[in-house]
Parts: sequence; C-alpha cells; structure tokens
Amino acid sequence: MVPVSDPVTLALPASVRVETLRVRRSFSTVLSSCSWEHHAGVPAWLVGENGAGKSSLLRVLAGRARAAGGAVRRTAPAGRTLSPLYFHPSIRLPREATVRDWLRLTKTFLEGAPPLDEPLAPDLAPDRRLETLSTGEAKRLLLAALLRRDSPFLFLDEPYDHLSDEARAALTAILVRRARHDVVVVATNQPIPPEAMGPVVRLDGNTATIHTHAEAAR
Amino acid sequence: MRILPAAVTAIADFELRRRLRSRASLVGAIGFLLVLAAGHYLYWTAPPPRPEDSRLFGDAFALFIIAAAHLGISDDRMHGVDTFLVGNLVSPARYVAGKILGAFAFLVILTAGAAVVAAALSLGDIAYATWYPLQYALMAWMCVPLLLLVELVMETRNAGAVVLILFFTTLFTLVHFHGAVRVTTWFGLRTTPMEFGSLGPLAMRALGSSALLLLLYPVCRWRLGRAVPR
Repeated sequence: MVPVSDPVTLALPASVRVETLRVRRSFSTVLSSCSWEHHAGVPAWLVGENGAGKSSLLRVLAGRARAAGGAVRRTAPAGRTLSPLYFHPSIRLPREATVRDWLRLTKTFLEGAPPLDEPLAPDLAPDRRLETLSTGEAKRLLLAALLRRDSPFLFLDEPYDHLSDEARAALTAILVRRARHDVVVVATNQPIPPEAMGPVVRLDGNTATIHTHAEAAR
Repeated sequence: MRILPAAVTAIADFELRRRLRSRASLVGAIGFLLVLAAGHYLYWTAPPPRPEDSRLFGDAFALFIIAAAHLGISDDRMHGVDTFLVGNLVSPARYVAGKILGAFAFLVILTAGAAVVAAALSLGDIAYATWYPLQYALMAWMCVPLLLLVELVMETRNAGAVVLILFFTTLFTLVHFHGAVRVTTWFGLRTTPMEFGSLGPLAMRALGSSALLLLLYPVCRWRLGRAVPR
C-alpha cells in the first residue's frame, strides 16, 4: 500500500507515520500491512466493524502495544515531548474516591495547563463518590483531564460513546482546535462530525483503506 | 524545599483517601475492633495471674490485613485506571512510588489507631499497646515487596489475603525442613513481648524490604510501561 499524505496539513510538523504495519490481537492478525502518514491539521478517523482492529491499531499508534511488524514513527516539533495521550473506553474512575479527590489529583498533573474552552467537565458535587457517576459523567471527567494535558499526539478510542449532544459538541470543538497543532486520531463507530472531518482509515478484512481528507469530505 | 515530587505525593494522598473511604477498610476496622475486644474480654475475665499474650492482637491485625491491605495497583489495572494515569499523566516510577507511599501512610495510621485502641482496651498498658502494633506493622512492611509482586502479577482486590497465605505457606514449609528456631530467626520473628530491643532484627528486615522495593522497579516498569486496557 502506498503511503498517503494529507496535502492540507503536510507543512505542519507533528506527524505520525506507519510503514508496512502489521497488527495482531491475541493470536490473530487484524491488520496485515498498512502504510499511512498523518500530520497535524485535522483529526484522523479510524472506522470499521467491531473487531476490525481499530482499537488494536490505535494502541500500537499510541505506543501502548507492540506492532507485529513494520514501524510507527511519531515526529514532534522540537521542544515538545513525544509522549502520546491515550484514551480507551474501558477506563474507569477509581470507585472509592470522591469527585473532589479526583480533581485534587488531576490538578497536580495539570499545573499550569490552560482550562478547556468548552465545558466538557460536568458540574458535579465535590463530595459525590465516583462510583455513583453515570458512564457519561465519568467519561467527561476523564476526558476533561486528559484533554488539558499538552502533547503533540492524541489517540482516542470511542470518545463519543455515552456522551450527551452537548458534550459531543464540546468534544468535537476541542478536537478540531487541538488537531490544528497536534496529531489527533480517533477510533469510532459513531458518525464522524462533519465539522471535524479529516482523513479516514477504514479497516476491513485485515486491510486498511485510506481516504484523504478531501475524499472523506465528499 | 520539596523532598518528593508533587506527583508522588498526589498519588499517595489520593490512594490514602481512597483507602480510608473504602468499605474494605471499614469492614477491616470493625473486624479488628471486635476481635481485639474479644481478646481483652478473655484477658480481663481470666483469673489472675493473667496470661501475658497478645490478647488476640495478631489475629485482629491479620483480619484487617486480609480485608484491606493492598497497594491498589491490581485494582487500578482491573478498572483501567493505570491505563489512564500511567503515560498520560504520570510516569510508572512516580505512580508506583505514590502507591507505596500511600500504603506506608495507611500502615502508619493503622498502627497508630491500633495502638490507641489497644491502649484503651488494656486500660492504659502503654508497653502492650505500642509493642504489638509495632511488631505487626514491621511484619506487614516486611511483606510489602511480596504484596507489590502479587499486585503486579495477579488481578485481585484482596492482595493482602494472598500475601498472608503465601507468607504462612512459605513459613510453615521452611519450618518443616529447617525447624522453627532457624526459620523464625531468618525472618526476624524471634522476639520477646514488650522488649523493644528484640524488634531490632525485624526492623532491619523491614528496612531491607524497602531496599528490595527499589530492586523490583524493573518489574513494575515492565508491567506498567505499556499499561493497556483489558
């Protein structure tokens, strides 16, 4: 497969490039060979049926799993950390803690980070135990902390599931803004928000079909 | 001047608050109180001269450990919390250091609380109320490297119970082959009640366990470096 570059964003420095990538999940190959390059500018989307290998590919892109073959190269502008941010839908908040405990913890790691422009974090009573939050509330709390963190790479697996329309809109706005300078790759089964359209990697039958931003927009 | 990185103390603080709010700690505390109260009831109702034993302190402490002792690493892994924290927000080293510091702080609180309860039930027998909590706290800290290993390898919320089983299985197996005197000497368990100097060997081993935690860091790094969702 020929490497494809998104022409709109080619000039921007943060990028992720995969070369003849082979991805396995347990003992089966979910992606036999994929070459692709994506630059900051607009979010990229991984789509496909359940079990097609979106999450497995995203884990490899984020450096959370090893590729069975090929290479992933992440390039960041000078002076920026290479450490990517990663979100998976199975992540849960610690049950016994309260909202206040969680906010106190994340505040330490987000010292100096600017607040999000969109209201993604839900308005919750500080004494509420995290185990009593709905799936959507917990997810918004997690995403709100993650998205304040600076990194040139953001890999999100199913971030839209369980979110209200308002939270989805806020997340989309954040991702679009963030993607101007950072590589943002989102794996999803949900409809891609038109305002966040970018290159689409469709996984099906061990192969990846790559649609450029212009193709996907059509 | 800050001695520890803010990330380490933040993780430790969070872990401690989690631990203090958990139902397991509440169950452990109630169990501890009931068993120690029973031990003292038997002690105070026994005809003089009363037996100079622990008044079920060891049993009460072990019950608490079974119910509530864990570092939280395995629990985090089961819920993907480590996937979120490690890599995204904090390095594996600081995460593990925070967990261990949190466990240490919890042990200090537990020991202090146990001493207060023991002092009350023994009607102010300070030697008793400090010696036994100190002995069991040192034993517990000696087992922390094993606790860390268990949590890195197993998916469990009851790592304390697993460690207790492993510890006593090892102890009884060794005693079978080498005799009780040699084995208790190896582990620093040959102590004399109320003689604080006799806790020296145990204290040295507990200190050695802290050093062993550093040696276990590569295992932690390997396990957490690629924290992936289940």
